[in-house]
Amino acid sequence: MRIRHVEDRQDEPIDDLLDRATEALRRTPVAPGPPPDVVARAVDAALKAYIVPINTNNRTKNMKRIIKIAVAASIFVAVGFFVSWITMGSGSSNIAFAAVAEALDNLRSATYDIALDGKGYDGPPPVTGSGKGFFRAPSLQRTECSTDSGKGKSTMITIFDSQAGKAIVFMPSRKIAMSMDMKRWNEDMRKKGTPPDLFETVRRLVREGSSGAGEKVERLGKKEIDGHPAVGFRTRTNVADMTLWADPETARPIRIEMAGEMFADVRMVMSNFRYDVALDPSLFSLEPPAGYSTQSMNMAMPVEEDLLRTLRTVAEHNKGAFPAKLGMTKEVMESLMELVKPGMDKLEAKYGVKPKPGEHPPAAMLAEAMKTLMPLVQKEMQGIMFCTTLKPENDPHYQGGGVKLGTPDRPIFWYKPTGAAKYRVIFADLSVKEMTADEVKKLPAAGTK
Amino acid sequence: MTDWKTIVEQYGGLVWATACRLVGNCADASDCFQETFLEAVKISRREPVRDWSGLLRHLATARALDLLRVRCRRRDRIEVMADPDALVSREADPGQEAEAAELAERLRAVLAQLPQDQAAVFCLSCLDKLSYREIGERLGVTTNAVGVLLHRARGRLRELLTPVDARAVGEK
Repeated sequence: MRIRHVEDRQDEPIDDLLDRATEALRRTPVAPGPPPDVVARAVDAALKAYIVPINTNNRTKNMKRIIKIAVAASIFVAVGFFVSWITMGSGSSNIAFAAVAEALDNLRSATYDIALDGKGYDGPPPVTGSGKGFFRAPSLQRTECSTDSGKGKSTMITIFDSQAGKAIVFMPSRKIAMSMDMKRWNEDMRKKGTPPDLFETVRRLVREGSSGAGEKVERLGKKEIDGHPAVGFRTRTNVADMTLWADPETARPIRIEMAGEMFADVRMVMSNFRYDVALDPSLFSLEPPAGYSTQSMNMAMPVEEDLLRTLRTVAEHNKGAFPAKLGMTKEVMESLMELVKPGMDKLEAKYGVKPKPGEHPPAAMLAEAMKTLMPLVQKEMQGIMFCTTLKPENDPHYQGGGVKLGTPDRPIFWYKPTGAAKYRVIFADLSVKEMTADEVKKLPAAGTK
Repeated sequence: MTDWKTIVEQYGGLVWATACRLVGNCADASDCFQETFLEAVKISRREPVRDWSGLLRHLATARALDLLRVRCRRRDRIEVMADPDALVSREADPGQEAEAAELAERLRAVLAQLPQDQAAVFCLSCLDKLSYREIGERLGVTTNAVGVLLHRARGRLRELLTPVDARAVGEK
């Protein structure tokens, strides 16, 4: 007897095929069960999970977690245009730049390894991490990064569709997801002429390099990377350095290194690139997995007003003084923890729980904390993010370290907005004045950044 | 305190059947079985459970779909076949039985390519025959949203089930 295969059913109505397949699956006979040993194992596992606390969180860790996920989301977004201030290349002598631009334009998919190391915003011990990145043309990206601050590992997965203007960040260990609507962000980026994602940024950077439109690139010559010959380029900005090594034959990146004080001195290395590999579309699903509690966030490009608010908030929660550095430093993070402390106190009162070390906090409490407190942190992160959007030509300077909030006539930050004739100077009382370049040169410590 | 022994014994059959049918083999069904109850423990810690049957059916479906996705991702390396021990013959005609098994396996493969919520709604509606209201309550969405998800799921499944040649003919 001949069995009809799916491919033989081209003459059948599709509805019928789906209905028949559904019915076939529905009526699939299954083995009697569950087997006793499977039941015994499940009972044992359920009892252990029910009785023993799953985690050893305490209140501080909960607050840190809230801050970390908000910060991580901000970092993630920032990475999307991390190198957008970078202009590259006088475009002349290098072989491969035009070819690299073309190769990147034709890229269908890529995977790469990610390595992170740095001081991190928790202070010592250093943060280390590793993970995988996935790219699928035209605009899908996924990164899976596990970091270890010495106090425990945490894994963060980010999926970003720059064309759709949507992103999701989730932490599998806590079943928490943050869904981000980035349409406003994309629109703002488009107006500023900033690429919306990392790969588009690299593409543009290479295009500018190949056309000679860019500037400020240091050519690193040739060397062997992971056993392959490579040509290198380095660019520097006010907040980050980026080094890109490309294969001279295929014109595709082999290794990208990025580092910057703004991100708590974290250095990110992308390597082991594999191109045009088959990637499962489900890797890029923007739907949170089942069972996750999801928060929503609207992302927008930060403005000067955000920086002013953040400076005030951080100073008010840092014994009245501005931080030594404007970035995701321990000092700034501790200020943000102070910011969310009253909210956490209220939640503890509401839930009648004050988690101690070793106690598992109620998930509903953590979920509410994420919902009510995380937006506070994210709002303040906008000010830090504002600094990352400034390019070298904006000539930004920060001189606020240790200066008391409200100190009269004390400039703490100045920059020149793109296209403006004068600088914007922020004082310690958070007033803002416009000044000419000559006036700015006379400001205290104007020679340092 | 929740009596987990009783719950596992009372609803074990439901969870096993749900998982086994979707994943098609005993080994994966065993994994699903344990993960389903572990997930139920976590949920019960944060909220009271009123409908154990509905919760466990949903969790078993979700875990089984997760496994199907994993299997789908490694399919190019390892061809996972339905476990003959997991299947109990009911069909009189071996040809029909083989055809049904092939159709079921094909549907498993394409279900793995759907977004989680669409796949879950499809399974709960079309395999478990739950009402829109029941599914909506379980997933925390409106009945309208259930309808939309099911519509999208069916559309995508039709597309994925259609042989490439037939699609090309249809397009002409």
